[in-house]
Order: sequence, then C-alpha cells, then structure tokens
Amino acid sequence: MDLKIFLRKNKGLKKHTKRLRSPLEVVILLILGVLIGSFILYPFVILVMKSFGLSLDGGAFSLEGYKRIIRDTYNYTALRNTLYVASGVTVLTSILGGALGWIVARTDYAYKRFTKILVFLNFIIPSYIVAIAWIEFFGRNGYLSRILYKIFGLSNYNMRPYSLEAVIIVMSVHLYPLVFMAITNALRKTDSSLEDAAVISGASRLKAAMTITLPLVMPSFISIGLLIFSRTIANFGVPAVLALPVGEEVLTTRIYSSLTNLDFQLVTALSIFLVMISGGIFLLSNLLLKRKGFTMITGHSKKPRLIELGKHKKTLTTCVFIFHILTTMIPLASVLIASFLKRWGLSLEIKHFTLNNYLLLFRHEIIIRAFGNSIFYGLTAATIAACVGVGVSYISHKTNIKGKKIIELIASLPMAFPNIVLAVAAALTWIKQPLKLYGTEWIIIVTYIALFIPISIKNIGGLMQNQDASLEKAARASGASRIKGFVDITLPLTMPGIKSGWILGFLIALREIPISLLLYSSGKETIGVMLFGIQSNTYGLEMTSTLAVVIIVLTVIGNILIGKIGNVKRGGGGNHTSTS
Amino acid sequence: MSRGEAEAIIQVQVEKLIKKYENIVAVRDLSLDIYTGEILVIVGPSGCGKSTLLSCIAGLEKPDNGNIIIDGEPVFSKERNLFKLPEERNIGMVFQNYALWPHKTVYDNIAYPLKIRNIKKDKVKSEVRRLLDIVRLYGKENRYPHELSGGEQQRVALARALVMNPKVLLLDEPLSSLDAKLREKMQYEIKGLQKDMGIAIIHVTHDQNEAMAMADRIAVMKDGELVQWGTPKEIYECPQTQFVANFVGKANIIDGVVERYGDKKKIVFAGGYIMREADIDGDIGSHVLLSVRPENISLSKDKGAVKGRVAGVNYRGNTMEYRILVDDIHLMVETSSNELYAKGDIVGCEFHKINIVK
Ligand SMILES: Nc1ncnc2c1ncn2[C@@H]1O[C@H](COP(=O)(O)OP(=O)(O)OP(=O)(O)O)[C@@H](O)[C@H]1O
Ligand SMILES: [Mg+2]
Repeated sequence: MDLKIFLRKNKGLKKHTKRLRSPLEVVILLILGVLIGSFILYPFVILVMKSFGLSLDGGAFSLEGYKRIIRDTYNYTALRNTLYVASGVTVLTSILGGALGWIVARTDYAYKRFTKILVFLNFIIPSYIVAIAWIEFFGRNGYLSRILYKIFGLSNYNMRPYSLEAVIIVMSVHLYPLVFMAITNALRKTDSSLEDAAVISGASRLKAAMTITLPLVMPSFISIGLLIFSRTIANFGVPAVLALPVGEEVLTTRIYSSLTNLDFQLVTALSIFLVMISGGIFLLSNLLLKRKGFTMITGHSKKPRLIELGKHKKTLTTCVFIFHILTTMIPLASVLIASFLKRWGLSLEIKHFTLNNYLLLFRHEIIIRAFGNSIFYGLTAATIAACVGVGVSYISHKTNIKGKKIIELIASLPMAFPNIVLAVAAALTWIKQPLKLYGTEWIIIVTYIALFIPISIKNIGGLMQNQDASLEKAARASGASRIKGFVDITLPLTMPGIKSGWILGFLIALREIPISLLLYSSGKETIGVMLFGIQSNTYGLEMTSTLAVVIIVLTVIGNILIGKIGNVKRGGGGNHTSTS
Repeated sequence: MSRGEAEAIIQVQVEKLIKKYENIVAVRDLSLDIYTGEILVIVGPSGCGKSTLLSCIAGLEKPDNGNIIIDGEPVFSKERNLFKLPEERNIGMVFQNYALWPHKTVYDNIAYPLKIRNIKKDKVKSEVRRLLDIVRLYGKENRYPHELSGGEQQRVALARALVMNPKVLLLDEPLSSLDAKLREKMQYEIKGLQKDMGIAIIHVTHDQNEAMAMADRIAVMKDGELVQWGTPKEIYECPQTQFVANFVGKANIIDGVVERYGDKKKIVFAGGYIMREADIDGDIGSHVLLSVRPENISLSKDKGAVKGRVAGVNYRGNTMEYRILVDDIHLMVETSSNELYAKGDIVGCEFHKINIVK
C-alpha cells in the first residue's frame, strides 16, 4: 500500500477513535446497533432475500415472485385495485379536506371550533371501526334498509355495502382530516395580505386565490396527497372487511391470503413491491418539497382577513353540517346504537336494547386478557422504542459521529413499511433459531418496537432539535460530566416526547390489526384480533360495536392526555393513527 | 409640496366613515380630505384604526356607513348602496409587511398588475423596466423576494404599487420593519418619488418622527377618530389636546389655575405665574390644562416666577435635558448645552409658547 495513503488512513482512524472516546457514545452506539440491527435491519434483509427465493440456509436466486405479481391475474388485479382505491381516496380527501380547510381558515363560517372537534374525532377513530359502521348503516340488515322500510315501505333494499367504492369512501372519511389539517396550517402560514395585494393590483378575489394562494399552498397539498396515497395503500383492515367478502382484493389483502397459502416467495415479493411504492412516494414528496421550498417573508403577520360569505353563509353552513352528520355522526351513532342491541339484526325497538353487552364484554375472560395483552405489548414496545429514539436523536442532534445520518435512516425504515409487511417480515424472521420468538408474545412486541421506533425518533428528535445546544453546555460549564449533563438537562426536556410515546404506543396497540392478526398465538390475542374476529355464532356485530365504543372512548381519553402533555406537535404527519 | 387653497384638488374624500368589526368600532364617523400632490401622514397608537381606514379606502373592507370619493368618483356610498371592488379602484398600496409574493420573482411581482389587465408583453416589459429604474432595482429583476434585503423588498413593493400609475398611493407603515438608518433614507426616497409623480399619498405610521419628516399634513387618530389635523408645524406648536401634545413630540402637561391680573387674567402654577395677561375664557379660580414643550421652558438662577429644584441632568450632545421638580411634579426641560446646572440647584422657570389643551 502506498505509504501516504496508509498514513492518511491511519490519521483518519486516530481522529475517529478520538471522536468516539466518550464512553457514553460508545455504549449508546453499541446498544443502538444491536437493537436496530436485530429489530429492523435483520427482518428487512430476510424479507428481501426471501423475495428473491433466497434464505439464510441457501436457496436459488429467482425473480419468480416479482414476475408473478404482473403475470397472475389475481395479483395484477389486486395491484390495479390498490391504485384505483388509493387514487380515489387521494382525490376525494383532497376535495373534502381542502374545501373544509379553506372554509375554516379563510371565511367567516361561524362554527369553526365545532368543525375542528368533529374533524379531530374523525382523525382518531380507527378506520376499521368506520368500516364496521358502514356495514351497520348500509348493510342488508342495516339502519338504512330499516329506515327506508319504515318510511317508504321499501322492502326490496338491495344496496351492496361491499365494494371498492365503499373502501374509498370509508378510507376518505378516515383520512380527510389529514388534508384538512395540512391545508388550514398552510393557509394560516400564508399571509392573507398577499391575496389583498393581488386584489389591489386589479385581480378579482377568485383570480387572486388562484394565482397567489393556490400556488403557495400547493406544496403542502401535494405532499399530503402523497401521504394519503401511501396510507391508503398500506391499509389492511378496511379492504379486508369491505372488499374481500365480494372477492375484490388489494395488495395488502392479497399478501394476507397468499400467506394463508404459505406462498412465501409471492408474499415477500408483494411486500417488497408495496414498500417500493411507499418508498417511491416518500422520495417523490421529498423531492417536490425541496424544489418548491419558498421562504415566506414574515413581517408582522396579522389576523387573516376573512371572506364574508354573506348570503351564501346559510347554504354553506348547512352543507358543512350535512357533511359532519354523514362523516362523523352517522358512523358514531351506528356503532353506539349497535352496541346497545341485544343482537345485531333485531329491529330498533326499545325492547331490543340492553346494557348487557358492556357487562358481558368486561366479564369475558378472553377480552380482558386481550386488553391486558395490548396494553402490555404497547407499553413495553413504546418503552424500548423510546430508548432507541432517545439514543438515535442524541446521536443525530448532539454529536457529530460519522454515519449518524445512516443510523437515523435505517431506524426510520419501518415508516415506509405497511404494518402487514412488518408482520410478514417478523413472521419469516422469528419463526426459527437463532431467535425463535414465534408462539410467544415477544414476536408481537418486537414488531411493535420496529413500528414505534420511527415515531419515537420523530417526536423525541423534534424536541431535541429545538433544544438550544447552550442548555447542555451550560450544565457542563457548571461542572457536570457529559453523562450528567445529558441526564439532568436533555433527558428531562425530552420527557414530554417519551410520555406521549407511551400513550401513542397504547393507542396504536388498541387499534392495530394486521401485526397481531398474523403473529398472535393462543392466549396472546390482542384487542385488534378480538375486534377483527369477535363475530361468531354466539356474538354478532353488537359485540364488535361494544368493543369499538370502548376503543373510541379510550382513544379520546388518550388523545386528551397527549394534548395535556403538549409539546409534541400533532397534525401534519399525524403519525399515531398508523392503523391496520 | 405646498398647495394654495384655491387651486387644491381633492383626490380622496372620506365622509363620516364608520367601520365596525363584530363588537369593535375600528373607525368612527371619520371625515378627511386628501389633496392631489400631498403627503398626508396618519399617526396614532397601535390599534387606533389606521390600517382599517386604509383598507376601507382601498376597498378591502366594506365600511358600515359613510361615503368615499376617489378622484371625483364615488367608490363607496351607504345611501346609494354603492361599493366598488378594490380591483376597480386603481389604487397603489404598500402593505405593512410588503406582501410580496414569495413564489414570484421581482419582475413578476411588479408585472402582475399589468398582466392581470392583459396588457401586451412589450408594454409590460417596458413598464416594469421604467419602475425598476425608478426604484433602482435594475439587474435584480430575476431574484425572489427572499433574496433581497429589507430595503430592496420595500422598493419592490413600492414599484408594484406604482406600476399602474395610480393617483393615490396608500402606505401602511411600510418602513416599520427597517432599521433607523434605512428608514430615514426611504423616507427621503418616497418623498422624492412623490414630488416627481405628483400623486396623493396617504402614509400611516405610529412613528411621530417619520410623520414630521414626511408629511405635508399630519392627521392624528385615536380610537377610530381624528383628533387633530394640520401641517406638522401646527400640530407640533399648537396641539389642541393633551393626547396630541404627548403623541407628537414631548410635552409637559401642567394643571394651572386662572387668577386675576389687574383687569386681565393670569395662570398660576406652584405659587408662580406661568402666563400673564392671558387671553382666555376660563373663570377666575378655574383649572386649565397647559402644554409646554421641553425646549420652551427656560431656566435661570434669578428669573422665573415658578421655582423648582434640579432633580436630574442628562447630557444629550447638543442639548441638555433636565428634570425639574416643582411641587410634586417633574417638568422636562431642554436647553442648549452651555447652560449648566447641577443636581439640587434651585432654578426659576419661564414658560414660552404655551398651549391650552383639553
Ligand atoms: N379582521 C378583524 N377582525 C376583528 N377586529 C379587527 C380586525 N382587524 C382589525 N381589528 C380591530 O380593529 C381595531 C383597529 O385595527 P387596525 O389594524 O386598523 O389598527 P392600526 O391602527 O392599524 O394598528 P397597528 O398600528 O397596530 O397596525 C383594533 O382594535 C383591531 O383589533
Ligand atoms: Mg396597522
């Protein structure tokens, strides 16, 4: 080797070891390496290998799995359906969320608080529960058929509640709040005097909105649209109840049914394919945002000038209320009413109502155990994920270790993974030695950890990034060691992020379906498994609804608690609804 | 620009204007004329309704009552139920925060008013050039607003407001976010531009120095009402109310008592007279409020009927600032810096240019 190069290399090495001298950093790096390596990187590698027909003990490389996605009609149709549903949801949510957001941010519509609360309710209700409500309302024994019969004497009700369009509508009801929040946010940041200046310059209000405001909120609009697209693609629960029964499949349900056929190469290829779509969308949105990054000039910004709706105010208010009734109140009322029915299918008469379902629910041993399991899995995973989050954020924001970007990138990898793909990867990885977790609760917990780590990095990293570096420096100047400075200053300041991480862990564990559905074993059922499969000969939709109501109540409480803890920004990414 | 009463042309006429927001009356019964070729500066504390008044003139807000006439043409009239939209008024306006469009270049910002009227491309080009020349931004037309300094942004906003050759230019505190030096420079530039173009400018500020420096006339606003208007000299030398005296420049407000002085009257304060042979209406024994500027009080060891003690001394370069304790109130006094008194000295005060205020 050339001496010069050798010397330079050595020098670099020295510098490197010098930088790593702090024992804290070494310990953190080691632990992080083990955790991220085994919970994220290892399953990911296994997943990729399997999709090419490879495994740790050999196997021949082949592209068979990928070829079959395009070649087999089943898979191809599923792909087409996925894109159809995702496009439909993106368009519908853009229209609904965009219009409602504009009304709240820029007009003198009077019931803004009310609207915001209802939108938020929609935001936190699990999509699977909205799907249940949809069946209860539009189904053959549903409320609509009964109302039509009661009022018009119609007895030949034959609306089909199961279809891809149903999936689109239900997903839109669940996801439009993301658009709403992004648009109100963007409009709030866009000074209304920009539009005034255009009007003074001779443009009509409409023209000013089109040439000035619209281009300015477009980047947020596009990036939230892309987020919605990938969220829809990743969803499993809604198409599983609303499309699967009539044989319509999307990629996530396709993965699920191929898995039951033990067709692993197809399952993994489908999974990687799904990840690539999400990843591609993620990159695309980053690219778009970078290119369109305007720096707003913020003078002293004032209350925006609100457009007076004048004589249209009544009409518009009515429209908004009808929208709320359709999207929030009917779904909530549907599950609530069903939860008081003695048996789903009975007519809505007083004598058929009972409180018994709730009593039964809490006397039901399996359900109590499922609650316990979900809480235990969620909190354990959230705790470990918080440790990883603190470690990664610390390295990212408080040190200049080489490769810290790569660590953060790998740790954030699960963000691009639909839950069902995480579940598939876990199932393939932990099924045999060296670490056979299959059949234990740890397989679920470990997968939850992978799911929570990106969220925790986002929350905790955000808090650490906003912390002034001088705070910890001041502690060190006062005589604290690096570790002491971290424990006394940085850690307490990130505590809100850690606390809300626990609540988020609890909330996600309450609603999450595909991971536990694929990975649970007897005695390790979670609430998601119960919600998905509680219907049987003895129980109908009324028990599902009862459970749903309990979940909704707990979710509302959890979100109020998160709001109380504060400091952790919600909205925009809204990562804690990451659902089935 | 001076104007002879006879030839003055009214450019903007505001009559009995009222504007309410929900429960706040932002402008109440305000009447005001602005003449062609003058700079009218509206001053007033924050929240007194200055921006609202401008917005009403521009048409961004619809007033609740009154009339507005621009260039002889009514643009708002409650009785006639007339409201011209802002895009039909051809007014130039510079906003408090400039309101430059961040996604458009300097060129496109300035060209927007022309393009929106479908003016031919060549014409747009030449007009934008003309404006770039006037505001001295030539060569920066392809930059985005955030690539400009505060002063340059301000000039882009000005160019955009002037590109349609409006007869009225509204300026809503355009200088408030500039530093002191730049602000002074821009004051001169705007005044210069206005001289060249001969348009009417309504300039809003809450900086009284800026008002003094730029105004042909000043109008002082408080709680949505005009309290006084006139030339800067009139406003400064003859404030009619305590508020105006305090808001424009510094003032000592003194509570004096009317007493007999031969067959005339005098005003007495703290045992000494302030004003003899006063020509005032007040009854003997009644109280009147007086305003005296700090530089209109002279100090001496032996003269002056009102005696006080020097409680504070401040060296200000070309002037000296004293605080004189008379009875239990402090008087602000400004003298030339060669009159020196020490803290604790007993001095006599003489008062000049005294105004009776409400
Ligand atoms: N869109 C609005 N809705 C309700 N109240 C408003 C609105 N705009 C202004 N106001 C109120 O009207 C009053 C006058 O406001 P305005 O902006 O005209 O004051 P200003 O003199 O320009 O103040 P500043 O010097 O701070 O700019 C204030 O009390 C303000 O709170
Ligand atoms: Mg203002």
